[in-house]
Amino acid sequence: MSTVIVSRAPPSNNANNKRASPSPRSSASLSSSSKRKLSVSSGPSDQSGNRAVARKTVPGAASSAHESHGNSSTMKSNGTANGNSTASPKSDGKFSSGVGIMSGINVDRGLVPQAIGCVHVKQLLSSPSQELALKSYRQAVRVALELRDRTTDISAFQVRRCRTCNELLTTTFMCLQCPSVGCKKSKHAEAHSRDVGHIFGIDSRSGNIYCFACKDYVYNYTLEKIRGEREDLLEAKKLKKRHQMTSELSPDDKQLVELNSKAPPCQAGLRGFQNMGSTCFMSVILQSLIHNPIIRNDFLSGSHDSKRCQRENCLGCRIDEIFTEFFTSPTTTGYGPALLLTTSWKTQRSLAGYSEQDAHEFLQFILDQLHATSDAKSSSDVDYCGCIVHRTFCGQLQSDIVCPNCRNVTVTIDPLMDLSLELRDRKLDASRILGLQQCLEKFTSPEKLETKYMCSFCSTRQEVTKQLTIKRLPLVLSIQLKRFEHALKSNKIDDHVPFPMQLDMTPYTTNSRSKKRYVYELFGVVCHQGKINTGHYTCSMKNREGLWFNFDDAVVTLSSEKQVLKSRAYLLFYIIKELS
Amino acid sequence: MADAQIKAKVNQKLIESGEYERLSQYLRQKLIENGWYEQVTELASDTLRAQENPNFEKLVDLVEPEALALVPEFVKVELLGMIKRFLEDIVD
Repeated sequence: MSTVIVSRAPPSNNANNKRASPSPRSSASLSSSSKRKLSVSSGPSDQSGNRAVARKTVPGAASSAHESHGNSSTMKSNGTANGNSTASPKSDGKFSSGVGIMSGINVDRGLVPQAIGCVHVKQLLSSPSQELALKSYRQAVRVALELRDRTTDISAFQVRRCRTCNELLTTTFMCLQCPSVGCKKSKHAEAHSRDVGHIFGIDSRSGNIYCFACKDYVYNYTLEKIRGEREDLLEAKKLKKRHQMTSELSPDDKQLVELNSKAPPCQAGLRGFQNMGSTCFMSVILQSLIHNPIIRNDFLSGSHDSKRCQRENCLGCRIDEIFTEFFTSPTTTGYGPALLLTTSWKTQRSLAGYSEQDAHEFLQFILDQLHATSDAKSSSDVDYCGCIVHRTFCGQLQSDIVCPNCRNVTVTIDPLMDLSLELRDRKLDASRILGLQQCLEKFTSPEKLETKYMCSFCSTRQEVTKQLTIKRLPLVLSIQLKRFEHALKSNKIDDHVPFPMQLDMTPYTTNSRSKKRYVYELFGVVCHQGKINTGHYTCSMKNREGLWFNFDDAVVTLSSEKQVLKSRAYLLFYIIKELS
Repeated sequence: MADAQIKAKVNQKLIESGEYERLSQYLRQKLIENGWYEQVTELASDTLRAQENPNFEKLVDLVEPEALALVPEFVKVELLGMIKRFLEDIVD
C-alpha cells in the first residue's frame, strides 16, 4: 500500500477545515450516484449523538449500578471520518444520526436551535476567568475519572460524597468554582448553585459538565476535549501502553506525514461488491473481513505488501488490494472483484463456475489461503501460529471423555477456528429452534455417546460421556448456525434464531466458574434467503463508529441494531469487547 | 442519628468488601441479558426525538418511571435477596 492513512485529531473549532474534514463534494457524489443506493432509514439509532445524553452503547466504563449519565462509550466516535464540513464535529443538532454526509444534506446552522453547549459555558470560556476555569475543570476531571475505577476503595467514594448529607452511593456534582460537592438526588448541589451562584457542576463519575442555569448537561467542544484526553490516558494506562502515536511525533515528522498523506475518503471502507454471477457468497465474506477490526488494521498497516509479494496466485495480495481500494479510493460504486475471483478459481477449482457456494465454506477457504500466503505464519502448531488469521480466529476446544466405569477422563485439545452450532435439541424437543445462547449451552453440555468405546484405562467397553468446552477463546468468534440439514431430505431451517448484541462466552469455557468475564460484541451478520441451492446472501456489518449497514451486493444501506437483531442469521461474527 | 451511623457503616462494609461492585456488575449483566438497556435506549431516543428543546431533566422525568417499570421482576427479587443476605451477614 503506498498511501498512509493517518488518523487525525478531531478538527478544532477554528481550525482550517478544508484539510481536516471531507469536502461537501464527496457527499454530493455519494447521493447522486445511481449505481449505489444510500438511503437513510427512518429511524437510525443515535449512535454518535451527544455524549452528555444517555448513550446507546452499553456502559462498560462506570462500574456502579447508579449510572452517571454520559459514560464514555466503548466505541469512540472519531469526529473526522464522517464529520460534516462545518466547524464543530456534531453541528447538525444533538441527534445527528452521524450520517449527515450520507444524506447529502448540508444543515444551515442558522436554522438549527442552539443544541451545542449553552450560553453560560460560552460566556465562561470567553471571559477573563477562562484559563482558571479550564484548569479547574482539568483537575476535577482527573479526580472523577481516576477515582471511578477504584470500586472497593472507600476513600474514593468519600472524596465524591455529598458534603451536605454525606451520601456515598449517589450521583454528585463537584463545583467548578469552589471545593463544594453536592448530591443530585436531594438537590444539595442545586441548593449550592442557588445560594452561591456557582452554576457549573462536574459529574463526579463521568466528568461531564452540568449547567444549573439550563438544568442540563452541556456539551462544549473544549471541555469535552479535556475530558476525552483524560479518558484516553487512563485507557492507555490500562493497556500498559504509554504512547499515543500522534502526540509522540516530532514537529518535523508530523510535517512529513501530513505532506505525504491523503485524508481517507469519507466513510472509507464502506462500499458494496458487484455480483459477478452468484458471487454473493464471496461478497458477504469479504465484507466480514473488511469490517473485522483486527484483520482490517493488519492489512491497512501493510502487513501483506501486494507490490512486493512474489507469490503466484496470491489471495493475500488480492485481499490487500481490496483493502487499499476500499480505504483510499473515493469511488463509491460497487467493486467488481474480478481478480479475486480468478485467483480463487485457480487456487480451488471447485469454486469455478457460476453456481452458488456456501459462504461458510468460502470463509474457511479464504482464511486458509490467507494463512498460507502470510509471511508471519509458523510452520508448526496452528494453535500458536503467528499469522493474522490464526491470531484473530484461532481458539482451542477441549474435549473431555469420561468413562462411567473408572471415571477416567481423556482430555483432548484441538484448534478451533469457528463454531458450528446445531439449532435443535433432538433429545428434548426436536421441533423447537433454539436461541444462540441455548445452542451454545447444548454444544458445551455433556452428551452420552451412543456407540460404546473401549476405555484404555479400565479396559472395558462403555457408553462414555463427552463434553466440549472452549479452552481458549479467540479474539474474533465466528459462529455458523447449521441451518442446512442433510438428513433424508435436504432441508433449510429458515426460522429466526435470536442472538444478542453482546454475548458473554464465559459459561461455555472450560473454566466457566472463572470470575473473569469474556464478553463479546457483535459486528457482523451474514444472512441467507431462499432455498438450499438457490438463494441469496446479504450481510449486515458494523462500522468503526458503531453504525450498522446492510450490504446487498453493490447496494449499501443504513440499518439499525433493531433491524439487525431481527435478521435470519446464518453466520455471526463477534469480537471480544475489551482487551485487558 | 444512630440510623445515619448504621447506614454509613453498612455502606462502608458494602464497598470495602467488594459486594457493592459485585451487586452492580450482577445487575448490569442481568439488565443486558434481558434487553433492558436496548429497550430503555430506544425509549430515550424516541422521547428525545419528540422533544423540541431537548433537556436532560425533562428526559429523565419522562423516561425514568417507565425504565424502572421495565426492569424484570425476577431481577428485582434476586437483587433484593442478595442485599438482604449481605445485611444478614454483617448485622448482628
